Amino acid sequence: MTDDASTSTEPGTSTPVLRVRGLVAGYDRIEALHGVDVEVHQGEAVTLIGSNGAGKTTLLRTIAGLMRPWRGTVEFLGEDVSRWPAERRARAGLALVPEGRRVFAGLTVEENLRLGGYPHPRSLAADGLATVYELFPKLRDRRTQAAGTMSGGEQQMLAIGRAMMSRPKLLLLDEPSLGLAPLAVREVADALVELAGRDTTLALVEQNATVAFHVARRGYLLDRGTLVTAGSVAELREDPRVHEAYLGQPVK
Amino acid sequence: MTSLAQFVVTGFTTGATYALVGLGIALIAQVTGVISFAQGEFVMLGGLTFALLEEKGLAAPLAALVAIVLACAVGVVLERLVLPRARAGRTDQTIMLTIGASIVIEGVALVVVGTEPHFARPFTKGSALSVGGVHITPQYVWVVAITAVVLVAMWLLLTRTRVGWAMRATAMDAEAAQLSGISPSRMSLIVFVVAAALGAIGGIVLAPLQSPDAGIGIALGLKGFAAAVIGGLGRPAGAVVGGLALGIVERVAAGYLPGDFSGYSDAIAFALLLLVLLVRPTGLLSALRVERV
Amino acid sequence: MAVLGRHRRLVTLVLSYGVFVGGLLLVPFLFTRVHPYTMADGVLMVLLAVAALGLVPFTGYAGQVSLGQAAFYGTGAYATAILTVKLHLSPWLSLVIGAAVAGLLAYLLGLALFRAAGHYLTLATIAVGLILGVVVKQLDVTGGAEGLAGVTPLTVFGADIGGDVNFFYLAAGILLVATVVVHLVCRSMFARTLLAISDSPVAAQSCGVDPAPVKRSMFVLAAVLAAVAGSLYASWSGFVDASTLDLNVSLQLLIIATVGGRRSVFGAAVGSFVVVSLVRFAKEWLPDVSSHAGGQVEIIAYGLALILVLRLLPRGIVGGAAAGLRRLAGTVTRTPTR
Ligand SMILES: Nc1ncnc2c1ncn2[C@@H]1O[C@H](COP(=O)(O)OP(=O)(O)O)[C@@H](O)[C@H]1O
Ligand SMILES: [Mg+2]
Repeated sequence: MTDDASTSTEPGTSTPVLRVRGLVAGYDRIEALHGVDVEVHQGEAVTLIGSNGAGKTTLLRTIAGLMRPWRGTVEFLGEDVSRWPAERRARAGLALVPEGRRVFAGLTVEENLRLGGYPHPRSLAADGLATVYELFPKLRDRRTQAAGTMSGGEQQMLAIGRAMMSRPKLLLLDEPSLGLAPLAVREVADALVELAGRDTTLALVEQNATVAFHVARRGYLLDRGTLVTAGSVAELREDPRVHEAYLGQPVK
Repeated sequence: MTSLAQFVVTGFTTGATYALVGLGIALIAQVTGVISFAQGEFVMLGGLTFALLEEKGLAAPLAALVAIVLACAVGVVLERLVLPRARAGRTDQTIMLTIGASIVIEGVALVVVGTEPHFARPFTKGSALSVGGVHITPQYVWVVAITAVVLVAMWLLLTRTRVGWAMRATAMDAEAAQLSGISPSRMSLIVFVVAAALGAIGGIVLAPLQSPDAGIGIALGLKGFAAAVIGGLGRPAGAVVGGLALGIVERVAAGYLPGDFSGYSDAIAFALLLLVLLVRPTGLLSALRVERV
Repeated sequence: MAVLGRHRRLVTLVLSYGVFVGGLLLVPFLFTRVHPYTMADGVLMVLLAVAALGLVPFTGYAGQVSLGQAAFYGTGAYATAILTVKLHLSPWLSLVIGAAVAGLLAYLLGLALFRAAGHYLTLATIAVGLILGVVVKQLDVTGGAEGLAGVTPLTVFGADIGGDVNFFYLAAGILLVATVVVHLVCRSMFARTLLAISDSPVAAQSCGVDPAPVKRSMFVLAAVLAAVAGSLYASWSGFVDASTLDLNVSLQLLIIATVGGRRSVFGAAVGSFVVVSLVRFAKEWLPDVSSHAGGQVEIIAYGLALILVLRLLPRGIVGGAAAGLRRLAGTVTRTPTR
């Protein structure tokens, strides 16, 4: 894949799809994010890496609206959505594939997918299903299977497919590789590369740097609630702080 | 034998109302996580309003409609004004708020209507059928038929409509539903209104059989709870089966209590509830796999 | 300043108990002079406060909603009535036996109930109260629907307690002792565990705390206190019937604890004052509506009080006032807040 101009827009040259400014958020009285700034531009695949407990999930949940920011703003497509409830953000095209997948276990694959398309008229569902099945042929074979009975990798594909059904303008993914068998990690990573290649704007949170650097072009390193560094994947690969955050994990 | 069949038939009719109340409680609990102790008051509101309007000469269908609309309106007030928006981790507070609401509803009904019961005519005239010695009045048939229609409608709502899907998704995983663009707040409002309507219908069909007064809410609410708990709070279908079973057991047990013990019949439903809670709090029916609607 | 800071807790403690005892001593003075209160209201107020006191740790700290306090209140009342009328035992011994029976009942219920989530407890406690209410109306030993009259009055060192004022002092003394006991319990590690449980059950569980035994002990404490109050009520009124087991009593006690403040030991007394006043004033000024509504119209005030306090003042009157005072003190002495 070549770097073309539209996928590596310099911050500030156009309105970013997502602009997070000075975000502070936490749980009860524990502050987990201490003022984070992130930008994601049209057509870009960005990754957010950091060790366990760095605040990655907190950041994505706050962006998606599942948590209220204590301070700071979340702008989506140029609009301040900080006070919007999560469902309104989802309808506006901000999709989150949550940590742990969270598929509707008792429903079939296709029912899960149709629920993902909830914001849109039913007539669009067939089109969306076709796209998802094309991306994940496995899901088509399992259409009538209960989601809860599938393997972790298949559930992850379903979770991504469900998010795609909402035709997102920005896809946030929280550790899609977590707890998957190596083969499944590959499959998911390949699907994400495929999505990124189709100009899907996505922000990928990962502890698995291999996956993160495989999918994204640019990234941020988060440590204990603060952004430590940002840069291209090539730069991050060489950064000793990244290696420190991934103690013991090969970073390739 | 005839008397047993008679008890079953009578019990089935009261059980239908318990089932409707229990269904409302289970739906609210699943979709919103709120344990509502106010559900019995909607039965009272429905039944009492219906009986009162009928006494005043209003046609039965119109009286029923007004009663249902009134109950739904009170349901909206309960959900929007009484309960807080943020409910996570506040189970004790929401339980007490629904208790407070049920006290106020009952109190207002007492002030407006007084303590006397009111009488509703059976939906249709006609004498009781006798099937093998078992008396079946037309009202029994009405209760069973209307309950059946309502339950089928509920099933269709939950499995065939967009709103029903959204409600089920919220029940399964509220956050995941939210991420799919479903508003939990809207679902909460809808489920409270639906539950209010279910309760009111239960009250209306029962009104010609047991003349309602302002105080019937508490006992009916608890019996609805018993129905839901017996069935397992997690399953709407369980609440329905639990309600019917409770109605029948209560009636049969009361029917066979020796004369000296007839005074205990009021306690049967509660003893059953307590027994279930002590022995198997996840519901008697949870052993059977009832499809989660 | 530093000295004041160090002794601040002690000062607050002494002050709050001073206000509490002072308030109790004011009651006979007020309730015998100010219309429409009567001294009987004063006695009832203190008894209800004792009965509701156990809900402070149970509801406020363990986050449990009990609507079965009446079951234990009634158990105490009936125990005293039966033991003094039928067996001619001393009223004090009857009080102890009644409290023990109620405690045992709560313990046994707790064994089964605290395995499951909170709402089952609410349901089960309601069911127990209603069942007992039906049972006492049927049995001979409890006097059936008429109830039992002629309960032996309490004596202190062989002397009769003449009149409501004297009984009030006795009951107030018991309330004070009970308050100190509950206060100590709330201060203990025990209560800190409970607070952790009620704030975040998952977190507490992950710390390896098993909430069930703690909740059960709190439930027993609440039951014993309610039984003591019921027993005192029986001796004082000389008469017991099924109304002591009524759901309305449980509601009243829950409202008392909530309105006063579910996390403050003084909340029960303050809540009791509010509720008894509500009842008294409603009876006084709403006679017409009340008779039409079977004398039950004050329950609207109960319900509204419950809703408004829970929504607007979740820590109750005492909790709210304490927070207000602390803020005031904080601005006056400029002590940095934690
Ligand atoms: N539900 C919670 N309650 C309290 N603290 C939490 C909760 N979830 C996460 N935290 C804390 O917030 C910080 C950030 O966590 P998280 O965003 O989950 O990190 P990551 O996703 O990068 O592993 C951690 O210190 C964690 O302990
Ligand atoms: Mg995480």
